[in-house]
Amino acid sequence: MEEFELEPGEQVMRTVRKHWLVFLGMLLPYIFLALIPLFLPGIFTWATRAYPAFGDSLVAFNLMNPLVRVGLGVWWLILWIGAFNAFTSYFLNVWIITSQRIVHIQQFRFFERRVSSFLLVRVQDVTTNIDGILADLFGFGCVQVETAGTASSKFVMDGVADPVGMRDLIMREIALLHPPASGV
Amino acid sequence: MDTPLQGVSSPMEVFAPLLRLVDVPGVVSIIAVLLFIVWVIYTLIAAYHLLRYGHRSAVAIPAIITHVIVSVLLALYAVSGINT
Repeated sequence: MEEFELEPGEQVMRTVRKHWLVFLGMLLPYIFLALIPLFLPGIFTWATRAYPAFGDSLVAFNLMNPLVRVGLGVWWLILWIGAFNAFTSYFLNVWIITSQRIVHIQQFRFFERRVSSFLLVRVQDVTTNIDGILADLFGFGCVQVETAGTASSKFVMDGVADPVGMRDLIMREIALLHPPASGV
Repeated sequence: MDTPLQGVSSPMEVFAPLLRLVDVPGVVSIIAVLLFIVWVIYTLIAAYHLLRYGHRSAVAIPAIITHVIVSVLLALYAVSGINT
């Protein structure tokens, strides 16, 4: 682990990222923008028929035109870079739940990361929020972890896969850290 | 006295003289070189982040390889337009 060192006896229990459907939602604008040029020749052909004043200028926009292929290749390459950037952001934003703490790694942009770490013994409240049909069907939602103490703070991660399982795991690990008092 | 505006038969009649002044292969070459430089810088930075902060995930290296392969295929598609 580059951002943090595991303590002796500490184990990584789960690494959590946003749900794949949330990632797909991040890709949708790129897919839409990539498909637009494929419809342009048809639209231009229709426009030329509807408005003869355009002449043959718009008909020249077809996928066999060398310059159009250059432009299309460059356009798709730019979109691919954008989509890969979305993947990098998705991949590097992660929560790591260990047997002793939760590490929240946020990648805002290249060379801008924030790593927050808080001990499970300080966790006061874990809240999950599943909002919407898709979130309910595909099982993703929001997890909020509130820590106790003088500098109490709330850690939030949206679009997490299996938020209920994540909450149960956190609560289970907390229970293991707080063994029940033995009554006599 | 100014001459009245003359109608044109098509938009190409307006742009054709301008297009003749532009060295299209030269412009395409410059754009291709600039895009290649940006792509190389971006790929190096993305690979650095994925490898350094990927937590030894098995996804990082295949993702970088996929990025390079798809980029090369798209670049070849664009260049194939120049060669035809």
